[in-house]
Amino acid sequence: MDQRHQEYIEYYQSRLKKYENNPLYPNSYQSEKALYDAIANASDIEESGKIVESENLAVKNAIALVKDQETARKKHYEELKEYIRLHAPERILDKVDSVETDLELVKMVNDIESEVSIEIIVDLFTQEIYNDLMMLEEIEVYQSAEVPDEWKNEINHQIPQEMIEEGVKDWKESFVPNARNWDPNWQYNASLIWEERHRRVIPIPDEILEKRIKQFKTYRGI
Amino acid sequence: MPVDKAMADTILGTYRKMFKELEDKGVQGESFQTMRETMERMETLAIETNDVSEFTAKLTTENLFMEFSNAYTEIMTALVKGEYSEGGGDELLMEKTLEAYEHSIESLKGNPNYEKLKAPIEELIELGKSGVSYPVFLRMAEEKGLNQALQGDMVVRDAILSEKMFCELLHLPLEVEKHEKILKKHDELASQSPFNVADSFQFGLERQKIEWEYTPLTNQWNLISRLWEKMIENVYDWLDSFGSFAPHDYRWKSLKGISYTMRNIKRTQECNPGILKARENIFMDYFQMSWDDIFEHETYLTAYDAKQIWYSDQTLELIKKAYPYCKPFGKPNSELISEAEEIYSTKSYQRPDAFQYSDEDREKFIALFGEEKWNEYFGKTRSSSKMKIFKQ
Repeated sequence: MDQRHQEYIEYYQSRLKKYENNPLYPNSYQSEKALYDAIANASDIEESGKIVESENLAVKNAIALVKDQETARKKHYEELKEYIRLHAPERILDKVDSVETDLELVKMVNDIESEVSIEIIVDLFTQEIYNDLMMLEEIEVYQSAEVPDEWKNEINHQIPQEMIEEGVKDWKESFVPNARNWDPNWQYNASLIWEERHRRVIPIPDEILEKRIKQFKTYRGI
Repeated sequence: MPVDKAMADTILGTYRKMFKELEDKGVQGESFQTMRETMERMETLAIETNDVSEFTAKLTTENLFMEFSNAYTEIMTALVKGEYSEGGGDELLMEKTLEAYEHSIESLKGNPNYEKLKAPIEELIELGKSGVSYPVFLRMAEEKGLNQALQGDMVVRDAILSEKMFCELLHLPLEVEKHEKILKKHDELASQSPFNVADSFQFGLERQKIEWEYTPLTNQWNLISRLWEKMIENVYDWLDSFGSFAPHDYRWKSLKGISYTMRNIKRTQECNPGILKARENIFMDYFQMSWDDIFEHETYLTAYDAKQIWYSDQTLELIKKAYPYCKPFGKPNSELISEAEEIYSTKSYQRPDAFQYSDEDREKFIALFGEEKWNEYFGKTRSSSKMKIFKQ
């Protein structure tokens, strides 16, 4: 065996080591091993190159890495109940076995990531109710404050009404046009607030949140 | 109106640079045509869209970034394959690899982490020029963890450490705890790795999980703090509105004249108790907490210890004494009003060291984030500074 061949064997052995005993990378370990075996078992470096090319081992290796990472990401998002983010690993895993070249692989992954990133942005609009919480509290405070008759109109009606008018205007003129830049058919879906990924970031009891949702619809004119 | 030019330049700068680089090389073909058309569309959108959010949305929803990047990757792959197929073997591979690393150092110029990011690249270049063969170079790069280091592992760790220190200075205990956990996880993964460098993908997932765990906790902390801050302010303003100084104070003084000023004072006197009660109801609804719980709660104690409470101790005690009187249709007694007047006349309402940091903290902060950032966070007083801190 010539020195160059031996050096390449050692290189692929070091790559193999990276994935050894790491449960996150079972496919990568196998594909790296296939590469290593192809090189180690070849009679010379030229033969090993031919085997790697004819068996498409480099592309298989890239596919294996994507499979391992997306499988881990899928499990991760399932555990966190992040069901929109989960779309990316699910869709990549669905398609990864059908790609044949490295370029196809990169393009497929990029396209799916881009598509899902838009779904995530659109889904995050749901959390606007959390951003509005302070205004909703202020509206409730003013509407329900016990004040002398002299002040009732200003405190209980006028001030909260002005806040609501401002909220409706901002929603129509700013929020909705921005959301529709991302999804032309976008409409606020209040039922999504109850999905775990959104509900968990709003640290108030359910019955109070129900009240806030009703208020939010009025505040934003939904 | 087109997007602000500086913003458009920031967003499109990298793409323009990539396009020009290939144009200068005389690249042609279908993929380059895709790059050209995509680039032209991006430039058009910078002019046609009205603001940066619309611009970014269009760039993303029309998939322009991806189309451009995919076409660029196709061209670069073809170029590299073409050069390698011309022969030259390992020597050419080594030459091209080192050339690419040298090029990447150039492109890093201007990056705030330039020194740290270029260090592993320089080490790789040095290794490549040391006379070792290409496969030995590749193996050593793996074994020394240089390939992983190229992904900026040291910079990532440093950034977490800086963020942790920033949160310590701002006295944000949950944020500090979160960053400590992230650091611990990073170091744990690095120690488990055969080459002592954390796997960036694995670390990314672990970090995201920790951040996910802390988001609701931080939100709750901020919400509790925000509610009690307004409650305390309601009582403070209410009591002060009875003081003889009230007509001259900025909180009530109207430019429209004394009758408006007096009406403002009357409003505070008569409405703040009802407003406070409504806030207390929300505090109870949200967290089953009442007025007395405020002063024992960790959010308050942390803010107090961190000098993030604007009121002096004397004022705080007076606010606590006035609270039982601040009920709808209630009034404070004359003793409380006199005490408020005394505090006002001696200007002892504000805690002398509110939002002040020690010289040592200041130096530490400036060394990390610069003087401009220091002024941004600590240059102002009372609620504005405090709210900024909460918003973080």
